[in-house]
Amino acid sequence: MSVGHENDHLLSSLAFEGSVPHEFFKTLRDEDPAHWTEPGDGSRGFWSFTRYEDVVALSRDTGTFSSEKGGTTLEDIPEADLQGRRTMIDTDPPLHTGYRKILAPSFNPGIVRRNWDERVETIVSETFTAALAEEGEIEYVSKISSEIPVRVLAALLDVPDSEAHYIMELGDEMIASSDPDHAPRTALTPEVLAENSKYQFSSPAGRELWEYGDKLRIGREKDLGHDVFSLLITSEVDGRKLTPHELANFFSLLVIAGNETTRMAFSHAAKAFCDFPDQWTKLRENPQLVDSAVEEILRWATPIHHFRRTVTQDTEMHGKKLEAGDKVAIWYASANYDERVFTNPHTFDIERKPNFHLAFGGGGAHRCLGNSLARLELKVLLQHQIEQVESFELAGEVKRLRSNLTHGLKRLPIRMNKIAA
Amino acid sequence: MKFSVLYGTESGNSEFIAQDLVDYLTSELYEAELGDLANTDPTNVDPDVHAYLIICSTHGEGELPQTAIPFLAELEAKAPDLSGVRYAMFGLGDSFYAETYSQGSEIIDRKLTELGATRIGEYGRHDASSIDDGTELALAWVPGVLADLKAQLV
Repeated sequence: MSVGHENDHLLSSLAFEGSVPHEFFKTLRDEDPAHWTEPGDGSRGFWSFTRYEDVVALSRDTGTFSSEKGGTTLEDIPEADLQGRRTMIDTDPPLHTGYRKILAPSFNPGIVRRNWDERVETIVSETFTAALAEEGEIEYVSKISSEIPVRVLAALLDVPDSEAHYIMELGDEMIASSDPDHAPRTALTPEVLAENSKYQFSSPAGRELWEYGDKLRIGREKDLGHDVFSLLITSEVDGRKLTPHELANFFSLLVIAGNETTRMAFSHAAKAFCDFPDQWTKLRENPQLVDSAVEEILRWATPIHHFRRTVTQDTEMHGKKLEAGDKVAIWYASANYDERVFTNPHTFDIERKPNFHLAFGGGGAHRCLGNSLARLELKVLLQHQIEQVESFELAGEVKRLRSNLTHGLKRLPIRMNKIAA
Repeated sequence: MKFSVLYGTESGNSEFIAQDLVDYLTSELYEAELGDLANTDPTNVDPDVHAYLIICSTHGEGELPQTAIPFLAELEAKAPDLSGVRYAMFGLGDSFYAETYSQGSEIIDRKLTELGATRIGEYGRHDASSIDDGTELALAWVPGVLADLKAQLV
Protein backbone atom coordinates (compact mmCIF):
# COMPACT_ATOMS: atom_id res chain seq x y z
CA MET A 1 0.00 0.00 0.00
CA SER A 2 1.33 3.41 -0.82
CA VAL A 3 0.49 6.37 1.30
CA GLY A 4 -1.89 8.57 -0.58
CA HIS A 5 -1.95 12.30 -0.21
CA GLU A 6 -5.64 12.09 0.62
CA ASN A 7 -4.48 10.99 4.07
CA ASP A 8 -2.39 14.06 4.67
CA HIS A 9 -5.05 15.69 6.76
CA LEU A 10 -3.65 13.33 9.37
CA LEU A 11 -0.76 15.72 9.79
CA SER A 12 -2.96 18.77 10.37
CA SER A 13 -3.72 20.11 13.83
CA LEU A 14 -7.22 18.66 13.77
CA ALA A 15 -5.78 15.20 13.30
CA PHE A 16 -4.05 15.32 16.68
CA GLU A 17 -7.11 16.41 18.66
CA GLY A 18 -8.40 12.85 19.14
CA SER A 19 -5.02 11.20 19.60
CA VAL A 20 -1.59 11.11 17.99
CA PRO A 21 -2.14 9.50 14.56
CA HIS A 22 0.11 6.56 15.44
CA GLU A 23 -1.24 4.22 12.76
CA PHE A 24 -0.56 6.76 10.05
CA PHE A 25 2.94 7.35 11.38
CA LYS A 26 3.62 3.62 11.37
CA THR A 27 2.55 3.41 7.75
CA LEU A 28 4.84 6.31 6.90
CA ARG A 29 7.79 4.75 8.76
CA ASP A 30 7.28 1.45 6.98
CA GLU A 31 6.33 2.57 3.50
CA ASP A 32 7.14 6.21 2.92
CA PRO A 33 9.91 7.39 5.25
CA ALA A 34 10.43 10.58 3.24
CA HIS A 35 6.84 11.66 2.82
CA TRP A 36 5.64 14.71 0.89
CA THR A 37 2.54 16.57 2.03
CA GLU A 38 0.73 18.87 -0.35
CA PRO A 39 -1.56 21.01 1.79
CA GLY A 40 -3.95 21.80 -1.06
CA ASP A 41 -4.73 25.26 0.27
CA GLY A 42 -2.12 27.00 -1.83
CA SER A 43 0.52 27.00 0.89
CA ARG A 44 3.84 25.26 0.31
CA GLY A 45 4.11 21.55 0.93
CA PHE A 46 6.63 19.88 3.20
CA TRP A 47 8.55 16.66 3.75
CA SER A 48 7.96 14.50 6.79
CA PHE A 49 10.58 12.26 8.39
CA THR A 50 9.21 9.77 10.86
CA ARG A 51 11.92 7.16 11.56
CA TYR A 52 14.06 7.46 14.67
CA GLU A 53 17.35 7.25 12.80
CA ASP A 54 16.30 9.91 10.28
CA VAL A 55 15.13 12.29 13.00
CA VAL A 56 18.55 11.91 14.65
CA ALA A 57 20.47 12.33 11.40
CA LEU A 58 18.52 15.43 10.36
CA SER A 59 18.74 16.99 13.80
CA ARG A 60 22.49 16.59 13.88
CA ASP A 61 23.08 17.93 10.37
CA THR A 62 22.46 21.61 11.02
CA GLY A 63 24.43 22.49 7.87
CA THR A 64 21.95 20.84 5.51
CA PHE A 65 18.82 21.18 7.63
CA SER A 66 18.63 24.72 8.94
CA SER A 67 16.63 26.07 11.87
CA GLU A 68 17.63 29.61 10.98
CA LYS A 69 16.50 29.76 7.37
CA GLY A 70 12.76 29.44 7.84
CA GLY A 71 12.39 28.98 11.57
CA THR A 72 11.22 25.85 13.36
CA THR A 73 7.47 25.90 12.68
CA LEU A 74 5.83 25.03 9.39
CA GLU A 75 4.18 28.40 8.80
CA ASP A 76 5.74 30.56 6.11
CA ILE A 77 7.01 33.73 7.71
CA PRO A 78 8.34 36.65 5.66
CA GLU A 79 12.13 36.79 6.10
CA ALA A 80 12.06 40.29 7.59
CA ASP A 81 9.52 39.26 10.21
CA LEU A 82 11.43 36.09 11.00
CA GLN A 83 14.55 38.18 11.56
CA GLY A 84 12.67 40.22 14.11
CA ARG A 85 11.24 37.33 16.11
CA ARG A 86 14.14 34.92 15.94
CA THR A 87 15.01 33.10 19.16
CA MET A 88 17.83 30.68 19.91
CA ILE A 89 15.90 27.69 18.61
CA ASP A 90 15.54 29.46 15.25
CA THR A 91 19.29 29.86 14.75
CA ASP A 92 22.13 27.71 13.44
CA PRO A 93 25.77 27.67 14.49
CA PRO A 94 27.69 29.96 14.86
CA LEU A 95 25.00 32.33 16.22
CA HIS A 96 23.32 29.44 18.02
CA THR A 97 26.61 28.45 19.64
CA GLY A 98 27.07 31.95 21.01
CA TYR A 99 23.58 32.09 22.49
CA ARG A 100 23.74 28.60 23.91
CA LYS A 101 27.09 29.16 25.57
CA ILE A 102 25.53 31.86 27.76
CA LEU A 103 22.96 29.53 29.29
CA ALA A 104 24.44 26.03 28.96
CA PRO A 105 26.55 26.01 32.15
CA SER A 106 23.48 26.96 34.24
CA PHE A 107 21.57 23.96 32.94
CA ASN A 108 24.12 21.16 33.42
CA PRO A 109 22.54 18.34 35.42
CA GLY A 110 24.74 18.84 38.47
CA ILE A 111 24.36 22.61 38.48
CA VAL A 112 20.61 22.22 38.16
CA ARG A 113 20.58 19.95 41.20
CA ARG A 114 22.71 22.38 43.17
CA ASN A 115 20.58 25.40 42.28
CA TRP A 116 17.16 23.81 42.05
CA ASP A 117 16.80 20.73 44.27
CA GLU A 118 15.53 22.72 47.20
CA ARG A 119 13.39 25.16 45.26
CA VAL A 120 11.73 22.45 43.19
CA GLU A 121 11.13 20.43 46.36
CA THR A 122 9.34 23.39 47.96
CA ILE A 123 7.26 24.19 44.87
CA VAL A 124 6.25 20.58 44.28
CA SER A 125 5.53 19.92 47.92
CA GLU A 126 3.28 22.99 48.30
CA THR A 127 1.46 22.38 45.03
CA PHE A 128 0.94 18.68 45.60
CA THR A 129 -0.16 19.06 49.22
CA ALA A 130 -2.75 21.66 48.22
CA ALA A 131 -4.06 19.48 45.39
CA LEU A 132 -4.21 16.38 47.57
CA ALA A 133 -6.13 18.24 50.28
CA GLU A 134 -9.09 18.55 47.93
CA GLU A 135 -11.46 15.66 48.36
CA GLY A 136 -12.55 13.67 45.34
CA GLU A 137 -11.56 14.47 41.80
CA ILE A 138 -9.29 17.29 40.78
CA GLU A 139 -8.63 18.91 37.44
CA TYR A 140 -5.04 17.78 37.23
CA VAL A 141 -3.84 20.13 34.48
CA SER A 142 -4.70 23.34 36.31
CA LYS A 143 -4.02 22.09 39.85
CA ILE A 144 -0.69 20.34 39.28
CA SER A 145 0.63 20.16 35.72
CA SER A 146 0.43 23.91 35.07
CA GLU A 147 1.16 25.06 38.56
CA ILE A 148 4.56 23.47 39.15
CA PRO A 149 6.31 24.61 35.96
CA VAL A 150 4.84 28.10 36.15
CA ARG A 151 6.25 28.56 39.64
CA VAL A 152 9.60 27.19 38.50
CA LEU A 153 9.46 29.65 35.61
CA ALA A 154 8.72 32.48 38.04
CA ALA A 155 11.81 31.51 40.03
CA LEU A 156 13.89 31.14 36.87
CA LEU A 157 12.98 34.67 35.76
CA ASP A 158 12.64 36.06 39.28
CA VAL A 159 9.12 37.41 38.80
CA PRO A 160 6.21 37.05 41.27
CA ASP A 161 4.05 33.92 40.88
CA SER A 162 1.03 36.08 40.04
CA GLU A 163 2.80 37.61 37.06
CA ALA A 164 4.05 34.22 35.99
CA HIS A 165 0.42 33.10 35.67
CA TYR A 166 -0.32 36.03 33.38
CA ILE A 167 2.77 35.16 31.35
CA MET A 168 1.70 31.52 31.23
CA GLU A 169 -1.71 32.41 29.85
CA LEU A 170 -0.12 34.43 27.09
CA GLY A 171 2.18 31.52 26.38
CA ASP A 172 -0.78 29.15 26.16
CA GLU A 173 -2.61 31.39 23.78
CA MET A 174 0.46 31.90 21.64
CA ILE A 175 1.55 28.31 21.24
CA ALA A 176 -1.91 26.80 20.70
CA SER A 177 -3.01 29.41 18.23
CA SER A 178 -5.14 26.90 16.33
CA ASP A 179 -7.09 25.79 19.41
CA PRO A 180 -10.18 27.95 19.96
CA ASP A 181 -10.23 27.25 23.72
CA HIS A 182 -6.75 28.55 24.28
CA ALA A 183 -6.70 31.21 21.60
CA PRO A 184 -10.15 32.73 21.26
CA ARG A 185 -8.92 36.01 19.87
CA THR A 186 -6.71 34.48 17.23
CA ALA A 187 -8.70 31.74 15.57
CA LEU A 188 -5.85 32.14 13.13
CA THR A 189 -7.53 34.44 10.63
CA PRO A 190 -5.16 35.54 7.89
CA GLU A 191 -5.62 39.16 9.01
CA VAL A 192 -4.59 38.44 12.59
CA LEU A 193 -1.64 36.38 11.38
CA ALA A 194 -0.39 39.08 9.06
CA GLU A 195 -0.79 41.80 11.67
CA ASN A 196 1.30 39.87 14.22
CA SER A 197 3.73 38.17 11.90
CA LYS A 198 6.65 39.96 13.55
CA TYR A 199 5.90 38.17 16.84
CA GLN A 200 6.17 34.58 18.05
CA PHE A 201 3.65 32.27 16.40
CA SER A 202 2.21 35.33 14.59
CA SER A 203 -0.02 35.68 17.63
CA PRO A 204 -1.35 38.80 19.39
CA ALA A 205 -0.37 37.02 22.63
CA GLY A 206 3.14 36.73 21.23
CA ARG A 207 3.17 40.49 20.86
CA GLU A 208 1.92 41.05 24.41
CA LEU A 209 4.48 38.63 25.79
CA TRP A 210 7.26 40.32 23.85
CA GLU A 211 6.21 43.69 25.25
CA TYR A 212 6.15 42.29 28.77
CA GLY A 213 9.65 40.89 28.27
CA ASP A 214 10.87 44.22 26.99
CA LYS A 215 9.44 46.04 30.04
CA LEU A 216 10.95 43.46 32.37
CA ARG A 217 14.31 43.98 30.73
CA ILE A 218 14.19 47.73 31.31
CA GLY A 219 13.47 47.22 35.00
CA ARG A 220 15.96 44.40 35.42
CA GLU A 221 18.84 46.31 33.87
CA LYS A 222 18.69 48.65 36.88
CA ASP A 223 18.22 45.83 39.38
CA LEU A 224 20.19 42.78 38.33
CA GLY A 225 19.74 39.49 40.16
CA HIS A 226 20.90 35.88 39.87
CA ASP A 227 18.09 34.85 37.56
CA VAL A 228 18.45 33.64 34.00
CA PHE A 229 17.19 36.89 32.52
CA SER A 230 19.85 38.88 34.40
CA LEU A 231 22.43 36.41 33.12
CA LEU A 232 21.32 37.08 29.55
CA ILE A 233 21.36 40.84 30.07
CA THR A 234 24.94 40.81 31.35
CA SER A 235 26.38 38.22 28.94
CA GLU A 236 28.00 38.65 25.59
CA VAL A 237 27.65 36.84 22.32
CA ASP A 238 30.51 37.19 19.85
CA GLY A 239 32.04 40.01 21.87
CA ARG A 240 28.89 42.12 22.14
CA LYS A 241 25.96 42.46 24.51
CA LEU A 242 22.58 41.11 23.44
CA THR A 243 20.33 43.80 21.97
CA PRO A 244 17.07 44.76 23.74
CA HIS A 245 15.26 43.08 20.87
CA GLU A 246 17.18 39.83 21.27
CA LEU A 247 16.51 39.87 25.00
CA ALA A 248 12.76 40.24 24.56
CA ASN A 249 12.80 37.37 22.07
CA PHE A 250 14.82 35.25 24.50
CA PHE A 251 12.25 36.03 27.17
CA SER A 252 9.45 34.70 24.96
CA LEU A 253 11.43 31.52 24.31
CA LEU A 254 12.08 30.91 28.01
CA VAL A 255 8.39 31.31 28.77
CA ILE A 256 7.38 28.61 26.34
CA ALA A 257 10.33 26.31 26.78
CA GLY A 258 10.34 26.30 30.57
CA ASN A 259 6.66 25.87 30.94
CA GLU A 260 4.35 24.37 28.34
CA THR A 261 6.30 21.23 27.61
CA THR A 262 6.93 20.28 31.23
CA ARG A 263 3.23 20.73 31.95
CA MET A 264 2.39 18.34 29.13
CA ALA A 265 4.75 15.69 30.49
CA PHE A 266 3.15 15.98 33.96
CA SER A 267 -0.33 15.48 32.51
CA HIS A 268 0.64 12.54 30.34
CA ALA A 269 2.38 10.92 33.29
CA ALA A 270 -0.77 11.02 35.42
CA LYS A 271 -2.88 9.76 32.55
CA ALA A 272 -0.42 6.93 31.86
CA PHE A 273 -0.66 5.79 35.48
CA CYS A 274 -4.47 5.79 35.15
CA ASP A 275 -4.23 3.71 32.00
CA PHE A 276 -1.49 1.38 33.29
CA PRO A 277 -2.23 0.93 37.02
CA ASP A 278 0.18 -2.02 37.26
CA GLN A 279 3.03 0.35 36.40
CA TRP A 280 2.05 2.62 39.26
CA THR A 281 1.96 -0.32 41.67
CA LYS A 282 5.37 -1.39 40.43
CA LEU A 283 6.81 2.08 40.94
CA ARG A 284 5.34 2.35 44.43
CA GLU A 285 6.88 -0.97 45.35
CA ASN A 286 10.20 -0.13 43.68
CA PRO A 287 10.81 3.59 44.17
CA GLN A 288 14.36 3.16 42.89
CA LEU A 289 12.79 2.90 39.43
CA VAL A 290 11.89 6.59 39.54
CA ASP A 291 14.66 7.65 37.15
CA SER A 292 13.77 5.16 34.48
CA ALA A 293 10.09 5.97 35.03
CA VAL A 294 10.86 9.61 34.27
CA GLU A 295 12.53 8.59 31.01
CA GLU A 296 9.57 6.45 29.98
CA ILE A 297 7.16 9.28 30.83
CA LEU A 298 9.19 11.57 28.59
CA ARG A 299 9.10 9.09 25.71
CA TRP A 300 5.43 8.40 26.27
CA ALA A 301 4.49 12.09 26.45
CA THR A 302 6.75 13.44 23.68
CA PRO A 303 5.54 16.99 24.36
CA ILE A 304 6.69 18.37 21.01
CA HIS A 305 5.21 16.50 18.05
CA HIS A 306 7.49 17.99 15.44
CA PHE A 307 9.83 20.82 14.58
CA ARG A 308 10.60 22.18 11.18
CA ARG A 309 13.90 22.47 9.33
CA THR A 310 14.63 24.01 5.93
CA VAL A 311 16.88 22.33 3.36
CA THR A 312 19.93 24.49 2.56
CA GLN A 313 21.33 22.48 -0.36
CA ASP A 314 19.88 19.87 -2.69
CA THR A 315 20.13 16.45 -1.12
CA GLU A 316 18.57 13.01 -1.33
CA MET A 317 16.92 10.82 1.29
CA HIS A 318 15.24 7.47 0.75
CA GLY A 319 15.42 8.06 -2.99
CA LYS A 320 13.55 11.37 -2.79
CA LYS A 321 15.14 14.58 -4.01
CA LEU A 322 14.99 17.34 -1.43
CA GLU A 323 15.63 20.76 -2.92
CA ALA A 324 17.20 23.77 -1.27
CA GLY A 325 14.39 25.75 0.34
CA ASP A 326 12.13 22.74 0.95
CA LYS A 327 10.43 22.55 4.31
CA VAL A 328 10.99 19.44 6.43
CA ALA A 329 9.05 18.28 9.49
CA ILE A 330 10.92 15.98 11.88
CA TRP A 331 8.36 14.01 13.86
CA TYR A 332 9.48 13.17 17.38
CA ALA A 333 5.91 11.91 17.93
CA SER A 334 6.70 9.13 15.48
CA ALA A 335 10.38 8.53 16.23
CA ASN A 336 9.68 7.82 19.91
CA TYR A 337 7.33 5.02 18.87
CA ASP A 338 9.56 3.59 16.14
CA GLU A 339 9.56 -0.19 16.58
CA ARG A 340 13.03 -0.28 14.96
CA VAL A 341 14.33 1.17 18.22
CA PHE A 342 11.68 0.60 20.90
CA THR A 343 10.31 -2.89 21.53
CA ASN A 344 6.53 -2.78 22.01
CA PRO A 345 6.52 1.01 21.75
CA HIS A 346 2.85 1.29 22.73
CA THR A 347 3.48 -0.40 26.06
CA PHE A 348 4.16 2.05 28.89
CA ASP A 349 7.06 0.35 30.67
CA ILE A 350 8.76 2.20 33.52
CA GLU A 351 11.67 -0.24 33.36
CA ARG A 352 12.39 0.30 29.66
CA LYS A 353 16.12 0.18 29.08
CA PRO A 354 17.85 1.47 27.08
CA ASN A 355 15.51 4.37 26.51
CA PHE A 356 17.27 6.97 24.40
CA HIS A 357 14.05 8.73 23.49
CA LEU A 358 13.91 11.94 21.50
CA ALA A 359 11.58 13.88 23.77
CA PHE A 360 14.32 16.50 24.12
CA GLY A 361 15.02 16.56 20.39
CA GLY A 362 17.01 14.42 18.01
CA GLY A 363 20.42 15.32 19.44
CA GLY A 364 22.96 17.80 18.18
CA ALA A 365 23.12 21.49 18.91
CA HIS A 366 19.43 22.01 19.67
CA ARG A 367 19.00 19.34 22.35
CA CYS A 368 16.62 20.80 24.95
CA LEU A 369 18.67 23.04 27.21
CA GLY A 370 16.32 22.67 30.17
CA ASN A 371 16.13 18.88 30.11
CA SER A 372 17.74 18.42 33.54
CA LEU A 373 15.34 20.87 35.16
CA ALA A 374 12.34 19.18 33.54
CA ARG A 375 13.59 15.77 34.69
CA LEU A 376 14.06 17.07 38.21
CA GLU A 377 10.51 18.47 38.35
CA LEU A 378 9.06 15.18 37.11
CA LYS A 379 11.14 13.12 39.51
CA VAL A 380 10.34 15.15 42.61
CA LEU A 381 6.60 15.03 41.93
CA LEU A 382 6.74 11.26 41.41
CA GLN A 383 8.61 10.87 44.69
CA HIS A 384 5.87 12.75 46.53
CA GLN A 385 3.19 10.73 44.81
CA ILE A 386 4.92 7.43 45.58
CA GLU A 387 4.67 8.28 49.26
CA GLN A 388 1.05 9.35 49.25
CA VAL A 389 -0.91 8.04 46.28
CA GLU A 390 -2.24 4.51 46.19
CA SER A 391 -3.67 4.76 42.69
CA PHE A 392 -4.70 7.16 39.94
CA GLU A 393 -8.14 7.03 38.38
CA LEU A 394 -9.64 8.92 35.48
CA ALA A 395 -12.73 10.76 36.68
CA GLY A 396 -14.10 12.29 33.52
CA GLU A 397 -13.50 13.25 29.95
CA VAL A 398 -9.94 14.10 28.88
CA LYS A 399 -9.61 17.06 26.55
CA ARG A 400 -6.63 17.26 24.25
CA LEU A 401 -5.11 20.32 22.67
CA ARG A 402 -5.82 20.86 19.00
CA SER A 403 -2.27 21.14 17.75
CA ASN A 404 0.10 19.22 15.52
CA LEU A 405 3.01 21.02 17.20
CA THR A 406 2.61 20.30 20.90
CA HIS A 407 1.11 17.34 22.70
CA GLY A 408 -1.03 19.06 25.28
CA LEU A 409 -3.90 18.06 27.51
CA LYS A 410 -6.33 20.85 28.39
CA ARG A 411 -8.42 18.96 30.88
CA LEU A 412 -7.62 15.86 32.94
CA PRO A 413 -10.09 15.04 35.73
CA ILE A 414 -8.34 12.64 38.06
CA ARG A 415 -8.85 11.04 41.41
CA MET A 416 -5.67 10.40 43.39
CA ASN A 417 -6.56 7.74 45.94
CA LYS A 418 -4.54 8.34 49.06
CA ILE A 419 -2.61 5.61 50.82
CA ALA A 420 -4.47 4.76 54.03
CA ALA A 421 -2.65 6.19 57.01
CA MET B 1 54.43 27.41 22.46
CA LYS B 2 51.57 26.55 20.19
CA PHE B 3 48.46 24.54 21.06
CA SER B 4 45.61 23.21 19.05
CA VAL B 5 42.44 22.84 21.12
CA LEU B 6 40.08 20.38 19.46
CA TYR B 7 36.57 19.50 20.52
CA GLY B 8 34.21 16.63 19.83
CA THR B 9 30.71 17.71 20.77
CA GLU B 10 27.05 16.84 20.57
CA SER B 11 25.16 19.76 22.03
CA GLY B 12 28.04 22.18 22.43
CA ASN B 13 29.41 21.73 25.96
CA SER B 14 32.85 20.50 24.82
CA GLU B 15 33.02 23.35 22.36
CA PHE B 16 32.30 25.90 25.09
CA ILE B 17 35.06 24.50 27.29
CA ALA B 18 37.45 24.41 24.33
CA GLN B 19 36.69 28.08 23.60
CA ASP B 20 37.41 28.98 27.21
CA LEU B 21 40.71 27.06 27.12
CA VAL B 22 41.78 28.92 24.00
CA ASP B 23 40.94 32.21 25.71
CA TYR B 24 42.95 31.17 28.76
CA LEU B 25 46.00 29.99 26.77
CA THR B 26 45.93 33.14 24.67
CA SER B 27 45.75 35.30 27.78
CA GLU B 28 48.82 33.43 29.07
CA LEU B 29 50.52 34.47 25.83
CA TYR B 30 50.59 31.04 24.26
CA GLU B 31 49.52 30.54 20.70
CA ALA B 32 46.26 28.58 20.66
CA GLU B 33 43.78 27.74 17.94
CA LEU B 34 40.31 26.25 18.23
CA GLY B 35 39.13 23.42 16.00
CA ASP B 36 36.25 21.01 15.62
CA LEU B 37 37.35 17.36 15.42
CA ALA B 38 34.92 17.05 12.53
CA ASN B 39 37.12 19.41 10.49
CA THR B 40 40.45 17.98 11.66
CA ASP B 41 42.53 15.91 9.26
CA PRO B 42 44.57 13.51 11.40
CA THR B 43 46.95 12.78 8.52
CA ASN B 44 47.98 16.42 8.42
CA VAL B 45 49.72 17.01 11.73
CA ASP B 46 50.91 20.58 12.22
CA PRO B 47 54.67 20.38 13.03
CA ASP B 48 54.46 23.73 14.84
CA VAL B 49 51.90 22.50 17.36
CA HIS B 50 53.52 21.41 20.63
CA ALA B 51 50.45 19.67 21.93
CA TYR B 52 46.85 18.99 21.03
CA LEU B 53 44.28 19.46 23.78
CA ILE B 54 41.22 17.36 23.07
CA ILE B 55 37.88 18.01 24.76
CA CYS B 56 35.41 15.27 23.98
CA SER B 57 32.03 14.31 25.38
CA THR B 58 30.08 11.06 25.45
CA HIS B 59 26.83 10.38 23.67
CA GLY B 60 24.20 7.68 23.97
CA GLU B 61 25.54 4.38 25.26
CA GLY B 62 29.15 5.43 25.74
CA GLU B 63 29.45 6.47 22.12
CA LEU B 64 31.20 9.34 20.44
CA PRO B 65 29.50 12.69 20.08
CA GLN B 66 28.50 13.79 16.61
CA THR B 67 31.56 15.83 15.63
CA ALA B 68 34.09 13.20 16.79
CA ILE B 69 32.63 10.49 14.58
CA PRO B 70 34.24 11.55 11.27
CA PHE B 71 37.57 12.09 13.06
CA LEU B 72 37.61 8.53 14.38
CA ALA B 73 36.58 7.25 10.96
CA GLU B 74 39.59 9.03 9.42
CA LEU B 75 41.94 7.61 12.05
CA GLU B 76 40.61 4.12 11.41
CA ALA B 77 40.67 4.40 7.63
CA LYS B 78 44.10 5.97 7.21
CA ALA B 79 45.90 4.78 10.36
CA PRO B 80 48.46 7.61 10.23
CA ASP B 81 51.69 7.22 12.18
CA LEU B 82 51.25 9.65 15.06
CA SER B 83 54.50 8.98 16.88
CA GLY B 84 55.87 12.29 18.07
CA VAL B 85 52.39 13.77 18.50
CA ARG B 86 51.55 14.90 22.05
CA TYR B 87 48.01 15.29 23.23
CA ALA B 88 46.08 15.83 26.42
CA MET B 89 42.57 14.53 26.98
CA PHE B 90 39.64 16.08 28.82
CA GLY B 91 36.55 13.90 28.77
CA LEU B 92 32.97 14.92 29.45
CA GLY B 93 30.38 12.52 30.75
CA ASP B 94 27.48 12.10 33.10
CA SER B 95 27.84 9.62 35.97
CA PHE B 96 24.04 9.21 35.94
CA TYR B 97 24.87 6.76 33.15
CA ALA B 98 27.22 4.81 35.39
CA GLU B 99 27.99 1.97 32.99
CA THR B 100 29.17 4.19 30.16
CA TYR B 101 30.39 7.22 32.07
CA SER B 102 32.84 9.40 30.11
CA GLN B 103 33.64 6.64 27.63
CA GLY B 104 33.33 8.80 24.49
CA SER B 105 36.71 10.48 24.94
CA GLU B 106 38.28 7.11 25.81
CA ILE B 107 37.50 5.83 22.32
CA ILE B 108 39.56 8.65 20.80
CA ASP B 109 42.24 8.27 23.49
CA ARG B 110 42.71 4.54 22.78
CA LYS B 111 42.96 5.12 19.05
CA LEU B 112 45.50 7.95 19.35
CA THR B 113 47.68 5.87 21.68
CA GLU B 114 47.41 2.88 19.36
CA LEU B 115 48.66 5.04 16.47
CA GLY B 116 51.72 6.12 18.43
CA ALA B 117 50.70 9.46 19.95
CA THR B 118 51.67 10.23 23.54
CA ARG B 119 49.23 11.48 26.13
CA ILE B 120 50.54 14.14 28.49
CA GLY B 121 49.20 15.41 31.79
CA GLU B 122 46.40 13.87 33.79
CA TYR B 123 43.32 12.51 32.07
CA GLY B 124 40.86 15.36 32.73
CA ARG B 125 37.19 14.68 33.38
CA HIS B 126 34.02 16.61 33.94
CA ASP B 127 30.97 14.86 35.33
CA ALA B 128 27.77 16.64 34.31
CA SER B 129 26.01 15.25 37.37
CA SER B 130 28.55 16.85 39.70
CA ILE B 131 28.11 20.40 40.89
CA ASP B 132 31.37 21.41 39.22
CA ASP B 133 31.57 23.82 36.34
CA GLY B 134 33.22 22.24 33.30
CA THR B 135 35.30 25.26 32.39
CA GLU B 136 36.55 25.70 35.96
CA LEU B 137 37.70 22.07 36.06
CA ALA B 138 39.38 22.37 32.67
CA LEU B 139 41.19 25.53 33.74
CA ALA B 140 42.38 23.73 36.87
CA TRP B 141 43.49 20.78 34.74
CA VAL B 142 45.45 22.57 32.04
CA PRO B 143 48.41 23.85 34.18
CA GLY B 144 49.35 20.23 34.92
CA VAL B 145 49.35 19.53 31.20
CA LEU B 146 51.57 22.55 30.57
CA ALA B 147 53.98 21.50 33.31
CA ASP B 148 54.21 17.98 31.93
CA LEU B 149 54.81 19.31 28.43
CA LYS B 150 57.55 21.68 29.58
CA ALA B 151 59.26 18.88 31.48
CA GLN B 152 59.26 16.76 28.34
CA LEU B 153 60.59 19.55 26.15
CA VAL B 154 63.59 20.31 28.34
